[in-house]
Amino acid sequence: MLIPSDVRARLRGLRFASRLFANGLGLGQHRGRSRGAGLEFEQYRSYEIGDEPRRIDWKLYGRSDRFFVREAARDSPLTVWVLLDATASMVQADRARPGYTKFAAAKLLAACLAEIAVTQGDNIGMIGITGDGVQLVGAGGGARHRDRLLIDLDGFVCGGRWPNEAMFAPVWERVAIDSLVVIISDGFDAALPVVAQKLAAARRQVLSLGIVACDERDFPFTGGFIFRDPETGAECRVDGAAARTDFLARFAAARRDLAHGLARHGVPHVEHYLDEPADVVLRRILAGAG
Amino acid sequence: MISLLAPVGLAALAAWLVPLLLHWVRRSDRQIVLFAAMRYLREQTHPRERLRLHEPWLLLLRLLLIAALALALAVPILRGQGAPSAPWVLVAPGVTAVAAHAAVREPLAEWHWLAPGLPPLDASLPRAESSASLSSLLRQADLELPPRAAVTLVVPEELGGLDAERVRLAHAFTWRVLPGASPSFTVDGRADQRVGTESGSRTTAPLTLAVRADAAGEAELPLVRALAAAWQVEGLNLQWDSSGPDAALPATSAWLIWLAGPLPPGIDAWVRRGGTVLASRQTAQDAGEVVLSDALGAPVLRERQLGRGRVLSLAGSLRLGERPGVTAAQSEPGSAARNASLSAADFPHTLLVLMRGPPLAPDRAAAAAVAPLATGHAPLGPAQFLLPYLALGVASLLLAERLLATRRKVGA
Repeated sequence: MLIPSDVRARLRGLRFASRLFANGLGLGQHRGRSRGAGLEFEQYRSYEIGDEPRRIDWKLYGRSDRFFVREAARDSPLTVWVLLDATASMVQADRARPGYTKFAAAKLLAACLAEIAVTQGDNIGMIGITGDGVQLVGAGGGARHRDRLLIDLDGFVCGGRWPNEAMFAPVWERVAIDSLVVIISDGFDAALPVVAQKLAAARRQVLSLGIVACDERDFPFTGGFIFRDPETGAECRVDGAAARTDFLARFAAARRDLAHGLARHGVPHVEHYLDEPADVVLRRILAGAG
Repeated sequence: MISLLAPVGLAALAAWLVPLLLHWVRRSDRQIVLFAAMRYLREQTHPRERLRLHEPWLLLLRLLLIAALALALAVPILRGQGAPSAPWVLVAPGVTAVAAHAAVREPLAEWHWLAPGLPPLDASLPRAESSASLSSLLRQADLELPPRAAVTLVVPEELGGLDAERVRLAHAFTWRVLPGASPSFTVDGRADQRVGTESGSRTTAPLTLAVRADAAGEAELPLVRALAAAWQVEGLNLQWDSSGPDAALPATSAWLIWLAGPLPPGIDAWVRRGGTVLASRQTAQDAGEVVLSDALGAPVLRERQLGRGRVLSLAGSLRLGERPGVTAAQSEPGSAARNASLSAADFPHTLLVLMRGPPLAPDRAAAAAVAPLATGHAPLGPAQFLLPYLALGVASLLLAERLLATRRKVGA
């Protein structure tokens, strides 16, 4: 998985930010929930049995005649999970650029996210959801983890239809509270907003990246075509010029509905077109997430 | 103006179907596109059955080639309106050149006889060609004269050589009638000597009836005289010229009664020039078409055309009087029936009709009454065949088609 050099250069300015407290282990760059000895004063709290006596603020005891413990906030690393839609509908590519499928674009976006996360010391993990089950790379940090993750990501395949609820056990087991979840999908599966909504309700911050092919955006078909749905295999004979206006209207309405439905649960939804560089959409979604 | 000599050749345009079918792209090779957003397409938008053709320029060339070939089959000709031309004056025979010049003041005009070939008026009118029908000469002149020439037709008062159809001319024309009469002609070009007919009744010259008899023929003379007398009664002005078989034939006579056996070659030559011969005792059986039979159906008189003249051959002798029991009569079977037909009351009249030959069609009228009518459309110019140009076009189209069809394809 090779990130184009110009995209990689533009990734430097991008940072993850979370509304929630980061709860990773060790030191990070995000406001964490853990308190303790540190440099930056957070709060006073009353002494409890078991606190170390050296953490008692004796000057305050002198003024108030009560024991207070001085607490400092500790910055923690964020855990980012990338949830990849790997159903069969992601194999679609533009006619103008046949090899570049939606899934390839999704992998590229995931690689960029991994790059950003590792650069700023956060943990990142990946979950690919296919019809047969879940492909998973556990969360971790560091350049070594990133390299392993990119190799594993390269082996991700897509196929099948959106799986049923039972298959999602690994998601719920791995994706801890307060972690950031980035869902990358084409938005055609009705179950996906439900998953996003459940994750958001369970105190995970969710961002949604929708991948839209240029053929869907522009519908440049003229003449007769046979359209085949990659998931169901259903076919449909269509005259491109006649169907264009109606399709564009219905497709735009569907995407608008999807964005509204996600936004209602606090999930920002941003669309990535196959003909634009990967960093554009990342810049938009990471800027809006903080 | 382009017109087609054989418009049915355009039916070859049906061959257009062949390249059209060859270039018609079947819809079965439609592309299959993976399209996940298919659910947002309405099922109703079925593709229109639009005619799709591949290599339209090659198809166009081929259609043009076929069209050119079909046009060639239809034989196109080009008729121009022609250049402005001097007026023409056509003088019908029967009017003298001097009279015509006096009557028509056209100093710049082309003066011609209305005769085959339209000879110039300065030349004398060749008499042998004067028998052509005046009506058809007028029609031919109408086709052949320069299209924009004004034509003055100078005709005698009494016009001959007409036919049953009124002449219609496309040229602008003037019909000048001068005193005079068309000469009347027989088919051989001589002045009409057919007497006793409706057209010949005005001829006052007597007809010489030449009779040539040998010794045996002397016996037939009484009946010949009786026939001549009967014809005189019918109004024929006859001049009797009876002589031996070796006597010279009168140059002016039209009728000869030959009573001297088989016709010698000298007589044949005379007949070929236009004479009419009644010959008795002719034995040749293929002597022509039977025109008179006796009561038993045996041929009595045969007629054959010889050059411009005719020969009427009598199988037996031209005499009566063999009574039953006479040996001469018994030697000829059926002679009684033949005698009966010869002695019939209407035999002289029948023979006269046969001697006169077929009547002439009424072909004379007052010129003022038969002035040509206008056709109402402009005269057509001379036709120019366009086939050479078309052949050139077909060849270049074929070359271009081959070049286009065999060129290296860019994508191949």
